[in-house]
Amino acid sequence: MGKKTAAKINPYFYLVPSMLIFAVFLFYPFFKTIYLSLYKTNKMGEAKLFVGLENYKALLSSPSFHNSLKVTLIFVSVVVIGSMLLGLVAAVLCNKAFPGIRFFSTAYALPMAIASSSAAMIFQIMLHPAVGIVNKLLNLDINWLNDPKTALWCVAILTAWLNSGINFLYFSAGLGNIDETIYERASVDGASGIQQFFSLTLPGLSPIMFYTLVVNIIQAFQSFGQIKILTEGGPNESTNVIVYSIYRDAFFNYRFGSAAAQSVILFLIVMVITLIMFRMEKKGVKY
Amino acid sequence: MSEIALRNVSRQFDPEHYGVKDFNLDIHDKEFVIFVGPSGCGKSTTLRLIAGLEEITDGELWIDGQLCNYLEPKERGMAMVFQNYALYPNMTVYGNLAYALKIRKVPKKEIQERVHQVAKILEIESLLDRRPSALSGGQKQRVAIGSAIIRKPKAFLMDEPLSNLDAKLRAQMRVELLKLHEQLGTTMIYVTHDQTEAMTLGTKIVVMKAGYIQQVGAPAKIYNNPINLFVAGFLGSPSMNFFKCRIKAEADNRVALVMEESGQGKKFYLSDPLTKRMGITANGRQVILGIRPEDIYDEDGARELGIMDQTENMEEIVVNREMTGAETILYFDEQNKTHAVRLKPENKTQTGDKIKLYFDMEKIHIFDPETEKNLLYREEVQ
Repeated sequence: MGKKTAAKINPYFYLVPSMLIFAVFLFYPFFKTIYLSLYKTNKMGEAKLFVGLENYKALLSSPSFHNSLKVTLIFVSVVVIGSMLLGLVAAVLCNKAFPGIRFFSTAYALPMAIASSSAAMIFQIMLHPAVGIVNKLLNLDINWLNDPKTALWCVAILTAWLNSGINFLYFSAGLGNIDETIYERASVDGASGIQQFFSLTLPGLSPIMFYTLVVNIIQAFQSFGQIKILTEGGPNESTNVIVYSIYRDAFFNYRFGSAAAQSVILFLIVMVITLIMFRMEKKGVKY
Repeated sequence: MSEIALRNVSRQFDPEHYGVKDFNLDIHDKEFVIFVGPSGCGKSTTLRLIAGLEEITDGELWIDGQLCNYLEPKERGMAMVFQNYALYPNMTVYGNLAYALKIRKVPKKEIQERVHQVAKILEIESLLDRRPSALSGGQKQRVAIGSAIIRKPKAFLMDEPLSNLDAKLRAQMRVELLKLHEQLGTTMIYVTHDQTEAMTLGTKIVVMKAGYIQQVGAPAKIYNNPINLFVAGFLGSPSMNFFKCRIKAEADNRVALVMEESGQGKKFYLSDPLTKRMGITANGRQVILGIRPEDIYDEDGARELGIMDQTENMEEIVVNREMTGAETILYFDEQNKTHAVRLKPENKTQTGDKIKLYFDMEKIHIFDPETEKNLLYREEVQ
């Protein structure tokens, strides 16, 4: 082998370790899922009968899947808007130096470190119709998690809070990048705090805002643990988001083909949304 | 109209640290006031107190007869230009200029007119669509000034606005600022640590040190009649030369200052009026003699002025020579410090040569080494 060819091939060897990891944990499951989605499987999850797009057709005409899509859409919207607002408000509040700032920043960032399952357990107790603090404080008598009208909101708000921790960090970093003196100039110029927020802070956060939005949407689509613990998709399928529906189809109904098809559809949805957002970013975020 | 008065204004950062202390100043309409001093002297803090960006902890701030201590910045009617320009990065130049008007809900058409008017004055019309990140330092500077003047404020507050520019641009902007001040006729308060800017721009200079005002006055008056050692040394470039001397009563009633640590009997004779003004002339008293580089002459210059008999034995070795074209600056060492002499370009003395120097004794300053006060300071001149 000549020196030249060696020099050409050499770099690829350095890629091997990471490629190997990607292949085992990402590429193989990904293509296997697509493969499975075209088959009927046995209870062990082995592909047995090639059915082509039959799984997809069944899904798209199933009212249950339509419901899942709708629930997911509402869930993701509430989670993304809620978690970003929470993170943003907390970050703006903590952007000024005041006594006890460390305590508050830690408190606002903490949800990031809490496991979704333990948070769900705590919410379960808080939302308990008889002994829960929420009913006690609001002087209400609502069975939050067993009422189809409120269950989705409960899991969505919990998830929003869980995701707000990392958003707080993103936004704090973003706010730190905004030059302090432009606020001083704005206040001499005559802008009120609210005017400053909308004309300086929000545009100043726009680069990080985009990134945070993409991450939040993807994260919200993948929420699972808290739904599994709090509602298990119920009541009456009102919290049956796609990820939970996949889990149920695969591990309760043993319809791995259908579950795989749902995974592929979820993947397509997330990909399309992300692509649209990147397209919009090129036009929208100016800095 | 804008009359700004500061009465015993202090800014205390913590129990032991003051940014500014007991600041008293009257700023009249159309004045160009310069706060000058080394970094950390409280000049920027004072400006920010006037703007309302810092809280006044003691004393009173009056603007046009109104007590303004507790007014929000936007209610004080000032416009400020910041050292780093503080342009809004997400807005175009047009947006930056228009911002202050837009939040005041000025009609769109009027905003447009005024933006173009200001852009024309500052020659930035072609930049209106650009964002700050696409501007050079000088252009940013113009936009910052433009967004200040567009509002027709009571006064302009400028915090070292030229310090980020290169030397040539700075000189150019200096001229333009002066022109602008004439054109607008608005009071300007300007902070700088650059004494050249202070001397050339101001109608009134406020020299500050460690939070206290040292001296207030017109540039030439402060230059010629500094109140103490600090002011004397701060203004002027190269700065004033200081020599430790001792007063010696000579025969026939003459009083001389004898240079210490020189051993060669370097001696400078005081004229009678000067001796009287100085007051205390106790034999053997230590004083500091201050003289500006341009008030020291070589033999030719001294002969012309007729001051040769006032200096004795002042011979020095030149350690450095700077030829700027219009003048020659020679440096010599004395009392372990380097001193400067500003001579005519015809002087050909080279580094290493010896030169005889003569002091113009009418121009000297004499300082008390303890209190650092100027013993020749004239109150009435201010």
